[in-house]
Amino acid sequence: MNRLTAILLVVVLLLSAACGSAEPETGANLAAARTTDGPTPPAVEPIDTPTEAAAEEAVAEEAVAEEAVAEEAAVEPAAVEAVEDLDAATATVDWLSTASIEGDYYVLGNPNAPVRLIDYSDFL
Amino acid sequence: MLQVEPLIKNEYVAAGEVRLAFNPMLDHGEPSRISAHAAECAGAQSPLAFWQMHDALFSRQSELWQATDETMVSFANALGLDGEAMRACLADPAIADKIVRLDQARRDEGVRLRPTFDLNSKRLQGAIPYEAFAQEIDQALAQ
Repeated sequence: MNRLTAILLVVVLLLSAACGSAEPETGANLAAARTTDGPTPPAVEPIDTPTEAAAEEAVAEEAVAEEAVAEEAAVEPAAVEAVEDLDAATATVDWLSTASIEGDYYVLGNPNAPVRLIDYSDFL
Repeated sequence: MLQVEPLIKNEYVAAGEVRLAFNPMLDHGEPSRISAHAAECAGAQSPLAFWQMHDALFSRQSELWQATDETMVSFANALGLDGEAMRACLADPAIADKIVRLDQARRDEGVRLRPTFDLNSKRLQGAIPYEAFAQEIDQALAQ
């Protein structure tokens, strides 16, 4: 009887060792899947700091000031341009193609020219 | 004036400093009269046309000795003027009277020599070189 009992104990021990080595792997896979799936949260806009806001306001004020100066400056060049345009207009008159009547004469040139030259001549 | 006038035109008239007038002298009878009459008739169409006819008459001077009314009508047509208006004007006695009146006025003023010039009422006689003319004009401009 003792021999038989010993053999039975050995068999039981062997069977118990074989069942303990087989472990499940599903827990690690689930953890890896959770890190890749799902929507990306939107980026959060940075909140302006008081220093940045003041800097922006200063830049805006400077732009307004520059615009005002530019407007003032634009008035003078316009006046200069008007004078220059008048000079240019006078200079570009083709007096050789300009004629008028002055008393009995057909006058060639600027009717307001300071010098009048009368040519007494015969066509022959 | 044929040689000096272009220089005066290009230098002083073009600059707006001198205005040029022409007083006809009728020293050669009918050819002088019909030429001056044609120039006046061109002026009646436009003041600038007077000077266009003036230049044409001087440039075709050799044709003027035998010129007739039809010659002047052809001159007008060549300048792009109204030939029929020219023909009618050549028969206008008012223009003929004006030509004679101007000629007589210069005789009364003692203008006998050709060419003679009136530069702001200063009489200049004879063929004056351009340099002398320019000097006179410059002096007049400086006044």
